[in-house]
Amino acid sequence: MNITCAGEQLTLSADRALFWPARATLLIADPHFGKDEIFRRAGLPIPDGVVARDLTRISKLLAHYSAERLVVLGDFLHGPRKWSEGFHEEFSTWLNGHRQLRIDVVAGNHDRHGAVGSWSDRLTWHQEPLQEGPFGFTHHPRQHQSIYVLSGHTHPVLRLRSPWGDRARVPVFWFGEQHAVLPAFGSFTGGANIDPSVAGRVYAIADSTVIAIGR
Amino acid sequence: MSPRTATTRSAAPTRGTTATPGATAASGSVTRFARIEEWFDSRGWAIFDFQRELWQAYLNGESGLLHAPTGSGKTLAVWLGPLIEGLEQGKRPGPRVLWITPLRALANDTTESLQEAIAGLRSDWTVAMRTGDTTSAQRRRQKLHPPSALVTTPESLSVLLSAADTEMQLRTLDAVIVDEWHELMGSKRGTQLELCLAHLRRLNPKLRTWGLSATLGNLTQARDTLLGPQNPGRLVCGPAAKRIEIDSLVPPSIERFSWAGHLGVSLVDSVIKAIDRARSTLLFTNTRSQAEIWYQAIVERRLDWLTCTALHHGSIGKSLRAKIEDALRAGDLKCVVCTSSLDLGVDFSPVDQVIQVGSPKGVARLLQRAGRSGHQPGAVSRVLCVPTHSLELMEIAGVRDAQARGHIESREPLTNCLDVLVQHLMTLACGPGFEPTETLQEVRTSAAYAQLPDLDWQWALDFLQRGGPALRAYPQYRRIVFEDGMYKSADARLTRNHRTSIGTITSDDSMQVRYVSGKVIGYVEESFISRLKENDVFLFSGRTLQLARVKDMTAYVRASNARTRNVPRWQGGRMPLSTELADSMLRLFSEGPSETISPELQALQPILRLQREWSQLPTQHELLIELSRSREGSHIFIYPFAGRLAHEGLATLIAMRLSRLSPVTFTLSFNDYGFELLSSANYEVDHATLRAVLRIGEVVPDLLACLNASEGAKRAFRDIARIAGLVSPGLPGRAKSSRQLQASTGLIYEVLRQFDPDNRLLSQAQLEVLGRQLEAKRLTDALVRIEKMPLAVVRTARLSPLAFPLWAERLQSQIISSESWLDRVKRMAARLEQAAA
Repeated sequence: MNITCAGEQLTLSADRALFWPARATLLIADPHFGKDEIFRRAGLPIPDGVVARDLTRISKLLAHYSAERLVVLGDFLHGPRKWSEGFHEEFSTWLNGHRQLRIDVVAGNHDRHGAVGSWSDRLTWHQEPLQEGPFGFTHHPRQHQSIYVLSGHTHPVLRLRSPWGDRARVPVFWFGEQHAVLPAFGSFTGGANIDPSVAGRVYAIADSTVIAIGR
Repeated sequence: MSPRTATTRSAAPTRGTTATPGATAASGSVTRFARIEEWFDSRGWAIFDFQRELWQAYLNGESGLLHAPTGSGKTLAVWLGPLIEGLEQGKRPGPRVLWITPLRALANDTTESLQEAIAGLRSDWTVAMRTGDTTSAQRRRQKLHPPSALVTTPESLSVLLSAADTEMQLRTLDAVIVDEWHELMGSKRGTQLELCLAHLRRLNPKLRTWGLSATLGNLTQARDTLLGPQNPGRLVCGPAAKRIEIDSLVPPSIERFSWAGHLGVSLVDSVIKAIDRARSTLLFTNTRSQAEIWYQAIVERRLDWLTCTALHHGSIGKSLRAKIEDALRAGDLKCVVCTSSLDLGVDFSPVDQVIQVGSPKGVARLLQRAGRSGHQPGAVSRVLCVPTHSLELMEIAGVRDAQARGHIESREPLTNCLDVLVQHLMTLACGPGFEPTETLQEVRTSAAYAQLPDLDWQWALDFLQRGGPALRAYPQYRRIVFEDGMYKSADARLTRNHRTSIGTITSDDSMQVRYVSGKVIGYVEESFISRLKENDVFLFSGRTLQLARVKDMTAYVRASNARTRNVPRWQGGRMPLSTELADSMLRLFSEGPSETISPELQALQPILRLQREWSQLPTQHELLIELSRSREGSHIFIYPFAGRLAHEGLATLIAMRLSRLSPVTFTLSFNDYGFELLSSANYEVDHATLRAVLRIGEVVPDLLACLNASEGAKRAFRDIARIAGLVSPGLPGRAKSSRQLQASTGLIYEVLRQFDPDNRLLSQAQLEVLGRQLEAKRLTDALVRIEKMPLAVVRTARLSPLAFPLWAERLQSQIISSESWLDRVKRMAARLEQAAA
């Protein structure tokens, strides 16, 4: 779905990403890479394959929109860890497949320790806000003077109900007056309900379609 | 069962002496039981036949199950055998007897009454308690000086097995006594206990197991489940249960249409009168929400009772509940509004009246509740039933009828629960470790896992060792390791985590509710709090509270003076009507009016007459189906009387089968008597089509197909994930030490489905929904019955009295549709806009 925001055209993808055609930039928020591994190390049985799936999703999105740059709006990694060989390998392989790609990461609250590894010099870390054109890229959804903020952090989802008992919980993009929140990108991330009565435009993801909700 | 049991008995000397000719000592055991006789004589008690039978059986090395009502001397029946043997054998290191109680709150009272008997027989045995409340200093003392008997809960027994050094001690056990076995059997706690007992029996093959149970329809099976199917055992019957008088509060005028929830609170004035007349009343409701509402309704009308009326249910804080129980025992309370939270436990002697609000849903349940009063000798237990809709009068009459015929419900034990097996294996791995071949044999000696397939066993081992089968191992993950032929816990941190999580087997996804000032009030489900906004007002624990903020799984609240009808709804509240009770109701429908008619049926006559005029009465011999049209569309009402859970399954199944024949969308609703399928106005269905879809056919595959579309399996997975250790043991109120490890069970369910669809815990979740949530067995039985019955298809001009409550319940109904997810989301989103506009 295409929308206009701060005078710029933006495309909302049903795979929980946002594309900014003017700068050939793909934005995602909260991938929480490595969350599954942290769970497994703590003795909680989460199957393997989450990282591979999410990297593939990014590749597909980059190809689909012919994006040249990836911006991650925080919580790139889930936590401070000595990552496994397999984890490093997956990233190296993936980055080798995207040699031309520029990657900017705004540090989120989970990223305090940054990424370490032979591949990590491909990432450019930024403190929020990272300003660009009319936009400020941040992790936390805070207003910054005079710029429109694109952020993550809250993993917004909308709870829907019908009077006869049908119900659904769907990830959403939320666009307010001064800032917007993207849905969490990671396959192994939860969500927090948003209050539908708060002013703003809401775009929900149902299967492979983005639909506009609200006034 | 409690010290009150003994006290009650002491007040009943005549009952024993006159009623039991066998009260004279049998020859041969005169000397062995001399001390008991001496003690009993000094108290003025007589020995019952069943007590003597049980002592003798115990001394002969037998195991078994005793079923006897509360207050009949059953504690002494199972306890004095071990005591006598102890006296004969002299001092030996303990522990010699484990006493398992389902409720932590009962442990204190049990310990006291065991000690009373020790003093009475002048034994030198000692008793100690081991529950979640036992301090580490007490635990150390118990290890240094093992008590002769240890009173504990199933969870604490598991924790004991998870310690590296208790195995030696447990080898010395002579006996395990399981109190209230009927309460544990049929639940996963019971399954867990079966596994622990199998382990203890392997440590000591001569171990004796005795269970205590209330009346059940399947006592033999209850015994075999407790002892393990291979082990012989005795079934000892105590004195017959007291007769229970069932009265009902018949409303002065019955509305022509009955509907859910309407009648109840309007009877509150009559209920208050009844409470006023009695000394102390227990008022049982079926759900915690109902309890909150009734408590509020009573204290609003009787402000003078504010200090002597209390509210007691499972979500109210532990210390407050204990205080209420003490006050009840002391006779300080006029009335306690409660739920099944007071079904079990110590006797409250001052209680002389039991009121049941809403249908008891089963005979055994009402008998158990009624038994909470009238412990005075010879007293008849009375229970006053208060209907919450008019047809519940029929259910009350049905209970009385079923009781008279001796039709009591059974409890089905669970089998092959992989989540419980995974937890138990981890428990053993935390202890001295386990050897796989012998342990499989051991596990299969329990009734629950006697038929455990090799593949399931292998899967459980793989799951703990590497997440999945060798080719689908989860990297970096392990909970157990194989060393020197034994499986052991992979590291100390996992062992520690596992021990803390053993106790959480019964806890819900709950949030602590506490005052901003710090005092804990109790627990409510997270889903309820998440629907509230800050400053919203709700009723909980009999107080009006305002939500201040939510932090770390804790809801902080303030007291409020606002009025509200906002009451938390807790999951899983509603119990289906039992088969025995449903049959009894159908029989009463068939009988029609007669001179000996009960007051309930008398009061219902106007409604039954309408039902006859507009449609017909349901009977045991044919299946009533009503077809009718309204502005809403075309209604199909079907009344199999199989209980609401089976009806939910049947409604889904029939709707799906009909929707395969022609494109249609159904809205479903169901209650204990039947279900409704509502569709658009032009939908037509004939006798032959109904006959065709009401066949057994491929029930299970058809239901599974429906399930995948619903959230049912995901919901069932919540418990499974907790038990099998898939979520980190973060407890409400406890600051999150490991924030990074929080994930909802719903999210884990989705991740497993996507990345490891063969995980057997997923299929277990499906089976549990089929078995427990939709009562697949009962549903199948109903279809088998229906196949042989003629269908009475009636076209009605308007909703019949039986149909009306279904119509009224439609707000909680479900949808079977061929529409896409996208269309559904769009439609709901459109409504959201309308509401906002």
